[in-house]
Amino acid sequence: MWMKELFGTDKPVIGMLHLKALPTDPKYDPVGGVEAVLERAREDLHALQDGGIDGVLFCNEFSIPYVENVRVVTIACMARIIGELKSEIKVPFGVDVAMDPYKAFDLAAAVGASFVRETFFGAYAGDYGISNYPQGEIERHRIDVGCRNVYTLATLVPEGAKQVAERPIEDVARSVTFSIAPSAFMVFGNNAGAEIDTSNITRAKAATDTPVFASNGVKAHTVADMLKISDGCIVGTWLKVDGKFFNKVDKARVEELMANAKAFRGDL
Amino acid sequence: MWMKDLFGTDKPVIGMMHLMAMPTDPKYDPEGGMEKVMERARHDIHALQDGGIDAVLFTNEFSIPYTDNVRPVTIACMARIIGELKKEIKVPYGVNVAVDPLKAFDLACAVDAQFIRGTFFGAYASDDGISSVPMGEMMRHKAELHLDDLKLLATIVPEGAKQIAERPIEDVVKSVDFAMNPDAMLVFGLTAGRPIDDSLISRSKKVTDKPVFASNGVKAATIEKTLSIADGCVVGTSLKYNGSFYDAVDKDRVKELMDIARAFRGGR
Repeated sequence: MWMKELFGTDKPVIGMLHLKALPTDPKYDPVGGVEAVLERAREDLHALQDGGIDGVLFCNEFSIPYVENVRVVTIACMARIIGELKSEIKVPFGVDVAMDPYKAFDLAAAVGASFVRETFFGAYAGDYGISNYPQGEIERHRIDVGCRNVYTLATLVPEGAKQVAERPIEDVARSVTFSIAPSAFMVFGNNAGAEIDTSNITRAKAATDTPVFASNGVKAHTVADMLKISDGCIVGTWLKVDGKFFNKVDKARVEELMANAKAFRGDL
Repeated sequence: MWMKDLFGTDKPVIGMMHLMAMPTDPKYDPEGGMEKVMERARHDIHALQDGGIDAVLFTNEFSIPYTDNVRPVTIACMARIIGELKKEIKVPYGVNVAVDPLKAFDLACAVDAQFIRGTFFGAYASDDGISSVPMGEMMRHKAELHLDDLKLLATIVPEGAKQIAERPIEDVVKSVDFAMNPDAMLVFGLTAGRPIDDSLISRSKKVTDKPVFASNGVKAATIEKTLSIADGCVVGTSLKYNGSFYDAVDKDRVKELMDIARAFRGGR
């Protein structure tokens, strides 16, 4: 399986590198500037790596509330930050540009990311209005910018949204595996840090051979159970100081969660 | 004068950092990939700095032929390169995105550039077709990105293009000085490497207090004359091995040119 080759384990735990708000984002701090965003990213990267994480995922998390037409300056800032940290990154890394899959591939091509997490297909409605992700266009753009070998972590059950025309998750997993064959499916809960419905993982896994990840809501005391039913997980909020979304990453919490994950995997 | 503060001299010589073609550019080499672009950039920055250049200007030179709808991946690649080189950059640096000034501001913001070169106003026709550069939009975008300290090097005579409705250069300088207040004005010749018409510099200088730069065509043999009439210059092609556009920067040629410039400036 590709996960073993990339992460050195069949059931990877990927840590979120939540970037602070960037220029033009509503929460951006022009006094601290991009330098302040870079410094927090550097601290978080080291906390994740020193705590034993398997991989990291850079995301413009604090661009919240998100847009589908992500500004060019946003991915330029992300590229500069990843470029500047490159010599310090010791684990496989990916990118997520909330919520613009085209610019996520632009960024991945620029920084040489190994994987991209994003919504690559489907029609949804939710807090952000109606979102349309034409998989043919997105897949063409991926190839155009040279991301043929980049692993795709594709949202199957989105965060805070529903399919416009609801189809059973098994049908979606099957038709998307047929058309774009993503590297893995992501199952989200309602929002960052919220528990996911684990039946969505087991149902998706029963329908195809595509690996299925728990893409949020994972905690130290749930990581073993989560890895039992899924093929990997992505952890963000729980790894922060006091488990708070806007805080920085707490190395001790990373160690605690990774100890449980490694005990379960038997690679302690 | 601001140039003294930023560059340490009143008559700066800025060296071009011509980036190799990037993903989606017609001349991009997918085999070499971004790593090859990165390595050439690293070679060139050290050659320029070791040769004694006053400052460097990063540009997507080998995106040629250019487009005024520069792809976001181009900006992301430039930001990653500058980010990754940041620790090695020892002189003031600027950015130029051929030919999309709005995205040049995005890049400047992302990498904390000290200056920017571009065409920020006017209506032109050239080999690239018709281009309309609405000054009001440009300046709004700069303000939106909080780029108050960014020095603006504004083209007044473009490369290989003519004003659609020709006005005398004196009139253009005066109205732009009034409306946009750039930090310096730039005069170009026909293409990279070709000498400019010196009279355009002296005519411009008669009607403004702003510095006027020779923006291309400068060579070791002519730099003394150029600096005697202009307030600074931007040099690219003549610093390459054999003075050949597509080659890497030759440190010896940089040193030869900078020795003459320094002697002219009284040893500084």
